[in-house]
Amino acid sequence: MNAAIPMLEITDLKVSVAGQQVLRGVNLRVNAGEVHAIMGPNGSGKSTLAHVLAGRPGYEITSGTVLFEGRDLLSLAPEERARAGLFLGFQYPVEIPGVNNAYLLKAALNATRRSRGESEIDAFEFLALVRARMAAMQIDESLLSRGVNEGFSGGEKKRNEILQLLVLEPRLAVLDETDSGLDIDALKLVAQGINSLRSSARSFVLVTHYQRLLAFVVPDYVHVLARGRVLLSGDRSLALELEKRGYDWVQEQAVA
Amino acid sequence: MNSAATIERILGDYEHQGGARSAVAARALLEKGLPAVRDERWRHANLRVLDQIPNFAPHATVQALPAKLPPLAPGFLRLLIRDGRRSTVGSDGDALKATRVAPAAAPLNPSHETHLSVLGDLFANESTVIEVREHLALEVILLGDGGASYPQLDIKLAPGARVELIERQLSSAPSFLCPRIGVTLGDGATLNHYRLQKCERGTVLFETLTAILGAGSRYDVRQVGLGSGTARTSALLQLKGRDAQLRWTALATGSGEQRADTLLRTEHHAPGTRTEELFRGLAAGQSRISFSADAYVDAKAPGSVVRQSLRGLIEERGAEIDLRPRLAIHTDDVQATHGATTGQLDEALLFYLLSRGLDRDSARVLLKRAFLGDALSAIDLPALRAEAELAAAGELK
Repeated sequence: MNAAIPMLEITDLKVSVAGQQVLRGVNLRVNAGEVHAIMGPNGSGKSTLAHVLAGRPGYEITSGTVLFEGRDLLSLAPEERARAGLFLGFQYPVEIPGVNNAYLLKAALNATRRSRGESEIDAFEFLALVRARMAAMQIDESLLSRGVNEGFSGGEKKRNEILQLLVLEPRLAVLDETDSGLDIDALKLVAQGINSLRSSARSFVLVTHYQRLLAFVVPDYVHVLARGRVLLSGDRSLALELEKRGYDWVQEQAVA
Repeated sequence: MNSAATIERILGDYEHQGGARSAVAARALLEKGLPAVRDERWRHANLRVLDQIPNFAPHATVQALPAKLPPLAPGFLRLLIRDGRRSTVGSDGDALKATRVAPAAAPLNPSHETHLSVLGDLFANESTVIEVREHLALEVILLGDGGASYPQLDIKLAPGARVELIERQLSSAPSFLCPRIGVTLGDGATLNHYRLQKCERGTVLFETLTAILGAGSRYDVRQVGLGSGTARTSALLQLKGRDAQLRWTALATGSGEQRADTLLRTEHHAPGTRTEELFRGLAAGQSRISFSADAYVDAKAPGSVVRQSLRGLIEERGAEIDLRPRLAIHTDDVQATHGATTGQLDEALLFYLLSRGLDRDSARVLLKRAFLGDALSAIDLPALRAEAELAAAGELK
């Protein structure tokens, strides 16, 4: 990749949902190899931003541009975005009874490989890969043969999202509150999974309420999203300050 | 539907072929007429197609045996019933030995559910009797070669007998198929009945199934309905012996102008009886699918259990699904649950799959297969399940 082209460049992004403006001009630049944390109070538009990046229907983009490695992301269908290397880790992963977890993993991996001009993965190679990743995430192998997230606990669902991340190895991972609902041991595992993928060619956008995930996945930048805009950006110390002081001071400072 | 004109044609065809077979049925037809859509239990049946049947008299087989009959499941004997008659060609010798041909069955009491069996009463050539004392694994193919046919199966299991029965309903050309299947289960008998309907699109299928379940018997039906332009199943199942169990698991898919309609009437007449009904219907194009699960528990059946789970998936705006769970309970000591939901593909699930890189068509097919999964997974014969999955997948594209 050309070093001058950012992994993700969001410019003046405005988005409405059911006629209500949620994002009011978001600007964000994420370079390859960087980890950005998006923090903010409830209803600030964090999850909207994550879903808009992944192409979820139901959001009206009223203005702005989003470039993913220089390509117009907003013109791509959700599946094209995924195959181009964008991964959304869901805050509430859905249960899909009847769709086998292993089948989905393999289909997703092969879709990505085909789009790269690579051959489909051999069954044994796939099994070895998934087993290794499952061991890393301490996920019971029996979950492979179950329906996607069917009957999984909240923590298992989140770990399953990270398992998919580890198998698919995207270029850009947008993780929407992956830390919510996790106990400390599960949080460490998830963080370990994310850290194992950090590289100079891969970027992360972590959407989170709290800084506790950031204690384990140290971000390069922290942004405060409130009232539909990025009101403040800083380094990891900003997350610690937010933990102590909350978000009100950022919003007051922005008004002033 | 021009009922009077159709009745006149039916009786004309009946007279033309001799007219002596069942004067009782002819009188019943004249007195009771044909079912009508104003009758709630026939509301969703596509009765108008009866006006278009050119000749109700049974078709005489002339063609050679179709080159391709489906592969036989391992361990099963095959019996071919072609155009309503047991065929020595295409049947295994042991299957012929295990069955016998009898005169056509006596007319049924023309209750709402079995009303249209009057056609079989008029026109059926014969009945194939399957009497089992111990164990049998049999595949029966009901094949229509064009024209009308009225195959009849009379299945009788002695106390404690066990039968695995695969029943295929097929047609090699546009046909009018009116099967009548009677099941009698002795005390403690078990019948695993796998039913695959894959007639070609020009075929009209009106079938009647009745069953009487003895004490401690178990009747397990897995029905897959995929073909036919019009298909109607009228089933009347009576749990007459204590602790009798019925499980009815069915799926139907429709596309184009297909009509698939089932009326399942279950009657609990003894204590501790149990029915579990599961239906999954998937309608695309302008198709219409309906399933009425009508359960009756009388006062002599305390401790009975009735569970009904009916779900429909509408793929396109012009398609229609009508699901009707109905319970009539006349005793206090009953466990009954019923649910019926119809909707479209869940956009949240679709987006999840798309966000993992699956293309839209594949994701939709995957979700549709998953929707039918409950019904398909009940088919516990691996070869048959694989065949049903493959056939269903072909319909889902």
